[in-house]
Amino acid sequence: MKDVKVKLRTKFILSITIVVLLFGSINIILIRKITLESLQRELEKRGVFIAQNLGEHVIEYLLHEDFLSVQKLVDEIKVLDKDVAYTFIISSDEKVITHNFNQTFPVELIKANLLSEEKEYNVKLIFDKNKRFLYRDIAVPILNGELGMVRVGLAEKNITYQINKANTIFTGMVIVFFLAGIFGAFVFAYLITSPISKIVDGFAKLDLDKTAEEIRIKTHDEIEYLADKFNEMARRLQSTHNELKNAQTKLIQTEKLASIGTLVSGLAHEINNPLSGLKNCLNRIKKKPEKKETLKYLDLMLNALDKIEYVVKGLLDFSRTKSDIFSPVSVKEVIEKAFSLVGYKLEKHSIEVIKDIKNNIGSLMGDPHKLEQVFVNLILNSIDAMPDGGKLIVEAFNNNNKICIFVEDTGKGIPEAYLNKIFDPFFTTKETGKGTGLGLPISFNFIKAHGGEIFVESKQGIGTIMKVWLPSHSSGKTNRREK
Amino acid sequence: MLKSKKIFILSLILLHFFLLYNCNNQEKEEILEVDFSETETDVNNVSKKVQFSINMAVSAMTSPKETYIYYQQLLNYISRKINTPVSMKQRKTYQEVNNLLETGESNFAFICSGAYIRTKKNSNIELLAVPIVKNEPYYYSYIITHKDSSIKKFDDFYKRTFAFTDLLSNTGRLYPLYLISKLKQNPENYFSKIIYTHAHDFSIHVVARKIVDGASVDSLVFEYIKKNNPDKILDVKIIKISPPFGIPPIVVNRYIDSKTKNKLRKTLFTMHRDEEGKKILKNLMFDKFIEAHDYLYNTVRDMDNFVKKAELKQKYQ
Repeated sequence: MKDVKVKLRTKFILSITIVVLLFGSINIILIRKITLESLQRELEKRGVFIAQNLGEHVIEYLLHEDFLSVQKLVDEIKVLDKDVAYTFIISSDEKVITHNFNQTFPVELIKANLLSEEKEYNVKLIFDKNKRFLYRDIAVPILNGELGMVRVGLAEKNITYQINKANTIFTGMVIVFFLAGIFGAFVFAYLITSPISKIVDGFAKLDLDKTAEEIRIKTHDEIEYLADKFNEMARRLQSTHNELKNAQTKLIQTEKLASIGTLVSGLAHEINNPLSGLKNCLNRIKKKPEKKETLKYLDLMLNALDKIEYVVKGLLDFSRTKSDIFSPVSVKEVIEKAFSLVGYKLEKHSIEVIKDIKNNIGSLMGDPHKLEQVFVNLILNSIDAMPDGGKLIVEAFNNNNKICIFVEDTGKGIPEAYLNKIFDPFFTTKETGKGTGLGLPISFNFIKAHGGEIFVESKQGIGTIMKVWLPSHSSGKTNRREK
Repeated sequence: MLKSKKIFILSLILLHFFLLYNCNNQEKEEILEVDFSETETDVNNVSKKVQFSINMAVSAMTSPKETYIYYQQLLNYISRKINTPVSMKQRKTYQEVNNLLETGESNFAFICSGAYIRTKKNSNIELLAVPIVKNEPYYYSYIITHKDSSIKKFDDFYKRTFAFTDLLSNTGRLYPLYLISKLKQNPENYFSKIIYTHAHDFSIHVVARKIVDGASVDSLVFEYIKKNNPDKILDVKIIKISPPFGIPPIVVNRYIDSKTKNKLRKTLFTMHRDEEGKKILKNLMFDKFIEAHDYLYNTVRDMDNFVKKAELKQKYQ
């Protein structure tokens, strides 16, 4: 399976975190802005309320010219509300009637916030240059300005303190929400992606040769549906795989039987010779059993029986259907066994055999029966290419932990157009009934299963070389089961 | 697919920055620098731009604010007509207004009929004009109670709470005192509690709010409120109307120069003839102003004498 570069979970967490950060930051600023503005508005409203209230209350006293009561009211405001820094009342001709500054009155303040006509109130930010204090100055008319106006100054530092307090609480809340959002992203990412990971693991572990493990997901959503579909697909794949494997085994067997068919006349001849010798020995013993030579004949008979047994054992080994277990295999032995099966045919077609098998060739991990089938196939193909005799050269050597086996003949060669097709199943140039078209494809698969490769070089009229290389036992690459 | 994904992410980020910019783009408030060290010690003096040569005093028949609004138009009109700025002075009690006139601090005034009859014969106060309301120079005292109250006649106020307007008020005090005197009672024993409201509209308000069981109010004020703020009298009912009394006059300080006095008289007597004056009179619910005669107040004076005699009687009994 292709490696996953960025996990779905990571993507999910990143996406949610980015969205939380993007829109969270907008929210912070937006809500902060709204909160601060409304807080400011509320404080301003309070200031306006104080001023309007005072403005309404002083009407009677002003009309009665009761300035003592006016002063009392103005003083009370400062005591009752700590945010009020100053209060004063000016007449319609901008003269101060009363104020609550300590002794002296800052005259510049009078003109700092004047009311335009028909305005209910006016708010101005006033900065004290000396003390560096900021005041929110509210001007409210008394009796529509006929009696002057009330001016109330709210100390902005108190407002700022309250705003900062609200700000701190708000920032804390935002951080908590951010962390909660990111934690939520992790939790949700886990909840959503873990069933998907289960399915991905199921894909990774899917081995068609083994019974597939069912993925169990109970999320009651599309993912559960997907898992069910996966389980169903795995079951179908396994069944198809088994059918295919059976078909392949049958094909191999067919090919093997075809090879046996080809070999059987030669093998019969190989058995026939010792049988004739056995018969002669028995006849001689029968005529004169007491003769001293009887023991010698018995030895000859045992030799003949050994030869028959060797031939029959070779055939039995070759016809064995399958052995999935890889074990150390001697290449030399495998080649020799293959030759023992085709010896008669070689002789029959007067083919000269030149074997050059190096002693240090070593062994490999594999299935000896399958390898034997490969070499029998290759030699039989060479024999078929040289019906009127020729040379068969088998070279085997070890090159950098690679076992190289070349099977070369001086036959008619393969037309160039067919070179690309010889490993295709059911492709054959032989007469009908002589070849199945499965010899080379099966050999190709067997060699591939052993971690090796097979190449062909051929020239028409000159001959063909089949080059096989297999990893040697020490290279350690074939230490696995055939797939 | 990959391209559209990138475009989507890019537009998301751009949108984010656009929103951030807009959220942060607050309008900065203008800040005015003021030197608080530029101070002045003596600022508690009220000085007027305009030097008022004439001063009108008003006894608060209604609350000071209402009185101010009520008379302001008339005051402005008189100022223009006599070509002299006229200012207004209000005082809490009728006696204070009488004092302003006596001392000459105020040149002329709207005073209550009760306050007028209390001026001494040789006082500095003399009649100038009276308004005509519904074709007569009279007004009445309305005895009122809450609309849900069981009180149906004045006698039912016995041992109940009652609101007087002012010590010198005719309709707001003298008339109910007269009624009690006729019953051979004194107010302190007759009512369970008496409060002074110093304004007829406030007397109506305290009755409507059931703060007191009853009050006696000026018919001019009651009708004015009925016309302009009918909601305020919805919860009160009139249970008794007094006989007619001479309407509250405009009086002048005897020593006001005759030229000004004549100008004032002329202005008042002719104001119903011009549009502006007519409009102001209509707002005040007056028809016009006419010459005032002292005999108009004889009924009030008789009533006052009756009460005084009754009080003396009770005192020496």
